[in-house]
Amino acid sequence: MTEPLGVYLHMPYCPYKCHYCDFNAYRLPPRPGVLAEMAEGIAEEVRRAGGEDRGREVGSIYFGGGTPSLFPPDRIAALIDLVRRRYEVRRGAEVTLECNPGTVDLASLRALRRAGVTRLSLGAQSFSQETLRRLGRGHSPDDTRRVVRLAREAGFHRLNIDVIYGLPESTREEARADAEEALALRPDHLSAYALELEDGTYFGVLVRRGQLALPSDAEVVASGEAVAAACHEAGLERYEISNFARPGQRSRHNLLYWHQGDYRGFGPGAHSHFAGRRFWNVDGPGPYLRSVAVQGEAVAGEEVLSPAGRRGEWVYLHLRLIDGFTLAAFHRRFGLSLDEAYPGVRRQLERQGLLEHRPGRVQPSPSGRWLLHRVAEPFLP
Amino acid sequence: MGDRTDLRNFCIIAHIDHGKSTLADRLLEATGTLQAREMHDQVLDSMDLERERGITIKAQAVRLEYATQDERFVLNLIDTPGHVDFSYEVSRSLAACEGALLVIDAAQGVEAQTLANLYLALEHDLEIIPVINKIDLPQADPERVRQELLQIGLDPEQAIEASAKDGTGVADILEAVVERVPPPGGDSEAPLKALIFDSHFDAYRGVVCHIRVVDGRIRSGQRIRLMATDAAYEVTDLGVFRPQPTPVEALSAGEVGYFAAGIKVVRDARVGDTVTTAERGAAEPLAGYRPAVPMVFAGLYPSEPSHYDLLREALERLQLNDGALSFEPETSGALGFGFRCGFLGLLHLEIVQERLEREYDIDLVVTAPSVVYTVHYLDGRVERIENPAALEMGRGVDRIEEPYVAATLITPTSFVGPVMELCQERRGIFRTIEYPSPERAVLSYELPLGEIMYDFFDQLKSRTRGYASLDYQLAGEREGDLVRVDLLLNGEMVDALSFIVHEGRAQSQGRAVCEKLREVIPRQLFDVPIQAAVGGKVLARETIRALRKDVLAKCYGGDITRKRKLLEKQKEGKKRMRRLGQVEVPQEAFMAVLRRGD
Repeated sequence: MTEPLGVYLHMPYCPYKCHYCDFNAYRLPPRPGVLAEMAEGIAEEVRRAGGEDRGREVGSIYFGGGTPSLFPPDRIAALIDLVRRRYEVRRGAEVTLECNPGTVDLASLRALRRAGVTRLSLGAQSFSQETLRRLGRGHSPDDTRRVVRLAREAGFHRLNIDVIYGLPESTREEARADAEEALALRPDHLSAYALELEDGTYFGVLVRRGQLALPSDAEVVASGEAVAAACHEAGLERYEISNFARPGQRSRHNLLYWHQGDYRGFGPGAHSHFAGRRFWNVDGPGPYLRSVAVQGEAVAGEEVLSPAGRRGEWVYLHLRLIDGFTLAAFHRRFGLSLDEAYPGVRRQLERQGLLEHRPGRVQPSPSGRWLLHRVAEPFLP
Repeated sequence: MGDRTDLRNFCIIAHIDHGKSTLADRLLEATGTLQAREMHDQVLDSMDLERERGITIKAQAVRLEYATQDERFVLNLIDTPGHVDFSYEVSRSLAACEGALLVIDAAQGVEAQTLANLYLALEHDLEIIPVINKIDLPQADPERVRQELLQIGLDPEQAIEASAKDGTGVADILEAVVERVPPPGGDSEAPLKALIFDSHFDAYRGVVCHIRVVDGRIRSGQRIRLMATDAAYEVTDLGVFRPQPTPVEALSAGEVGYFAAGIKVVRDARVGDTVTTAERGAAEPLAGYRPAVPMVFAGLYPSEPSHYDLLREALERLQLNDGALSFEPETSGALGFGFRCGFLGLLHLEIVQERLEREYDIDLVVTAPSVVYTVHYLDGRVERIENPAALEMGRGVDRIEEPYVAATLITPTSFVGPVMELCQERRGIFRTIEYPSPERAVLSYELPLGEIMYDFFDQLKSRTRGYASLDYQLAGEREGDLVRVDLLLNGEMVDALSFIVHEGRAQSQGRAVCEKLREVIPRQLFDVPIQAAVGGKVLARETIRALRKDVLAKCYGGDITRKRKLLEKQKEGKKRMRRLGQVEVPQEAFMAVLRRGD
């Protein structure tokens, strides 16, 4: 029953902060040794942090950020090595690194490949120079194309490309054109995210002031569907709201999240889920490093859900998957049937057209996918 | 002249914020009734709500002991409510006094409530002592205020300049109370007549009545009778407020104090009623009693239908202490079971609503308040309509009458135009204009109560940069061209949203309510049309477009907690909504009618 563990390493620095970003990411301070210090801190946490997770079998490692590709490949190699010492990393484990075009060259890509990275996730975001400029990205569409070429040359076969749609004043045609440009690079995986406005970001402020207009929800939905259609034509199947992959190339690490699986996060603000408990590290690099130096870990908070809370969360997460989940899987996991746990809810959602009528399976309808929070709501405590 | 030449009964009257409560505090302090360290600001306003809102809701009385070089006096300071909703209570408090301190802000000058209170005090033959307060303010202009005093018929020479804040003039005020306010008349040997000028509910003693003995004597253990309700009781407690309740054996003509007699609800000891002895009592009650007449009605519904009984109990408990609150069960197609409640005015409604939510922890849906309409049907039937939904429109209605008020508006002369314009828009009938001083105009209008209930005061303030003031009292009913505007949500009429309005404004207000509803009702899974109609004819229409997207695109770095919490919050918000047919409606939607503006 134990699915292999996932390991997440959060590399919090970026060369610049994008206009839409509210992630736990920080502009790289112009001070020598910052990256080394951080890499050392994370290494320290991997070495010393307590927990019963030691020795578990690991199926995926994921370097997220920030911009992990800012870190020298030997630091990445050292971290992978430490993860191997702490855990039992499976042969053929998926090792992903998020990489921004413009931060790597052939030599560094080769070094990353040698270090054991098997999969690159490229933050392309858009293939329009104008859009990239407006997003505050520091690279061009050609940088993205070049890095794909170099990655292949360096031996990476598994490539994900990230794109964003639903940008201010954008249309479904633009979203589709962008996706087609990305697909022309023949990635085996594509993540297409609708822009989310967050308070405190540059975009958030502009929209609130009325200086920037977002497309209507209907246009955003149409844009997402246009991206999905382009992916389908290119042979990438949608398996989660925002994720598309060639057969067999789904992101094992991300699937863990949707399966309510176990993962262990290291680095500032990293989240872990282990043995029914969710916990997370302090966000800021400074406090994180100080805490790790003293205690060997930097846990800031935790959450243990009630049984009903866990059930609701499991359903909510699985509903993000295009195939949803089977009634049998729910029963296996919780020892009671969905109808016992939530009497009448499934039928009601089917009647509202939010769930497909499929025997034995709970699966969001095409419109239900976009209204997932409505679909999930009745399952929450 | 009565037998208590050492007694003085007086009150303080003022426009809101002119410093009445602060002055009361200083008088308590100066007479040693309370030590400075016991003082917390505004001792007399004992309800939390009063202190928070800075207004006096319930009148209270406190006994001050004051000595000059060779004489000792007992001063009874009777506090009065300071809001137009409670003008009847004010008049009863005044009836318990022989004198009044008329407090006027040295910077603001005479305002509408100053005048209204002055006229009320003069009606009760009170000796008026003008106090020009806040002379410590840099913008104070006592000379101008003296000019205005002259214009309103008071002797400017008699005015005392004071600052309740720093204590200036407080000694002069006490001196003037003793010198100028006459001692009470009345005959202690005559049959008992005592005026109830306030009452409150006490969990241990039942209703505590605040009284002014006019004639005769009241004793502990005595059998008494309340003349309006003709109910008899035995006095269990008798005392005075210092300001703590302090028992006494008897209170005789001229004195002020309290009694308890096992009276269960405040309504049974209505303000203005006369107390006499059960045996050989007075033949005639004191003049001026008036039963409580609610002016404004609104539906109160529990958000949680299962809280209906709780709400009824809470209303019953509030009524113990609030004789003006009325309620009757009612049923709404939209809101289920609730109560149609009557209030003295909007402030009274807000206070009751807040107390229900705060003290009794009941979530409420409150429908838009309405005045009472008198409907004359062709067949001769006459009906009082407290709920717009109850009006049978169409054939059969001969005419509808609505309540009017006589309003006094005081404004700087430069704003006379905007004030008249506003009154005109609200169907006001112009009566008079007077100029008590070159800078100030006093306008009299008759206005429909329904037109001034909502935002009139705000409009008045904003069109006169805050300078104009308003006071009004009821002035009968007049016929009006009134229609009921119905709101339809997703094709279904929502009875709780209907409102009655002048025909000429039905369309603009119907549109305004539709727009408001579109703003406050969240998007549903389908398009929701909102329509305003009169007698089936649609006047305005809006559409709430269907929700198309409600999902977060990305789960960042495994942070499931944050997402799930967002979702839980969303669900929590929904629990507070009402389901009307297929549509989820938040509570503020029912108040949309209130904010329809123009």
